[in-house]
Amino acid sequence: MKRYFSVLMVEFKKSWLYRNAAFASIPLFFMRGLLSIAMLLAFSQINHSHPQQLINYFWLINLFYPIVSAWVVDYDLNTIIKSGNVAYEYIKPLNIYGSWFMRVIGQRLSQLCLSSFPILLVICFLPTGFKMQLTISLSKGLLFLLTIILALILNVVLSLLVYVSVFYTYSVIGSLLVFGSIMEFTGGTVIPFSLFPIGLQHIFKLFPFWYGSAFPFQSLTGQLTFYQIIHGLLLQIIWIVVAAALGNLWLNHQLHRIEIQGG
Amino acid sequence: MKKYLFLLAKTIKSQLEYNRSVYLLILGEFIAQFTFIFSFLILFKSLGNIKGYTISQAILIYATINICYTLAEMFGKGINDLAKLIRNGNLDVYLIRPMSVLLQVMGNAFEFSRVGRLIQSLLIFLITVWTSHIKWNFLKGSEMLLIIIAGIMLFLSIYLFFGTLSFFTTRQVSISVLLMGSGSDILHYPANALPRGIRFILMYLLPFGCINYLPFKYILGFSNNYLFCLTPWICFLFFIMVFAFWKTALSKYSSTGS
Repeated sequence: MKRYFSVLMVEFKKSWLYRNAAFASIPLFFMRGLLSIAMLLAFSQINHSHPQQLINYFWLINLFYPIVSAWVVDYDLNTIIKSGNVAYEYIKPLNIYGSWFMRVIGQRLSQLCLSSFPILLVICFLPTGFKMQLTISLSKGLLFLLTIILALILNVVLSLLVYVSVFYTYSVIGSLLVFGSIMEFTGGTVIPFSLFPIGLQHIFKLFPFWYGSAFPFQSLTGQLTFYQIIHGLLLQIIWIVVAAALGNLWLNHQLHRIEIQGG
Repeated sequence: MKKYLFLLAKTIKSQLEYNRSVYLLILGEFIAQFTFIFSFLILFKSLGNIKGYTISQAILIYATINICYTLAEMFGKGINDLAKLIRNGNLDVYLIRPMSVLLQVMGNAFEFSRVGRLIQSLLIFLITVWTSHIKWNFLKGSEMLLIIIAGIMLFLSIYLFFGTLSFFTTRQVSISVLLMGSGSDILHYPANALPRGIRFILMYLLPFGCINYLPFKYILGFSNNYLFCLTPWICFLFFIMVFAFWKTALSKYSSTGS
């Protein structure tokens, strides 16, 4: 366990080394939130559909972007697979799936720590109409914390499936583009999930992506009942188990198949 | 020009070598674009129309800008990577060849995978041209063509501008990522529908209003003033200015080394 934890810490240290890049992305997240809200406000009927709820939703997405996004890409991992350095991973006294899991989760968490808190400071002091306004009770906050942690794990497990597919496609961007655009759309990151027609919402909830992105935010902005939240929590856990098992099996299958030449 | 086409053909050929990855990228672009159009429709359905524009009018603008943006991304990828080129010091190689540096930079890369998106936006463009209730005449048709060419020039000049800036900063300027990457959606909306601050930037600082708002005023029949047809030419003026900036920066260029 200690060894896996050290993989996590390495990622934290690495992102601290490149902290300038992370800080440079803060205005980016911030502007993107502002622009998406501006786009939303361009529509004429916006006042009839709880604008504050939608604005909160957009800010939450940008705040937790490193957790919910499909685009937190580990190019090093891609290179490891593509160049055959996966052989080195074999030598380490770690389960490969486990160490990759810690690696990706470390990246997302460290990015979250570096970029989110400064954004949070700014968006609470924006002029009304753009500001995030939320009232959070203790129980709601705790439930949100639980759901967002599970969402993080779910997204990491799902993205590991994408990395394993690199064994076939040799390029993480190709796999990610197909996977990511489906994930971000059905998960409600592109447009707020509550704006989808009801029928479509039911269909999208059959996929795991909603549980990884829109679900925690909707539970925090008060669009879900207590029963729905518990139901969602259970399904999050089920999806995590399914995706992790699939990823493990697939990775082991691939590792048996590969041939590495050179030296 | 012939040399540029030769370079272009070579880059496309080299990308097709990894064909599984390229097909996947084309498919991915197609799906990504599809979700964007789809979400645009859903926004319309649940939030009413954009101030003063009907859905087919807004989609016509959306598709037009998208065609410009996609083509600019395909041909301008090299310019977009300019910062990397400068940082690695690889630009020096281009300086000693007997060919325009800008053309070499452009021929250096070509984003073939955007073909999927281009096909889709062309289809949507044709459908909206067909179904919208616009009385087309020669002037409006040629205006449409002008908008697309001017739009490509505009996007390319913005790539070039931020690329040239990296002569001084030797780092990719992240605002270009914002404008060209995830934030590019905002450019697909008519400029007059946006909040005041953004509208100001898009009208007066970067002439996006000259392709997504002013000429469409005439095409969509909001105004009969022919002067609006001339506005896309401002984009060419903008390109010339940026090109001059690039030329002066290039003449003062000193390599970052190894």
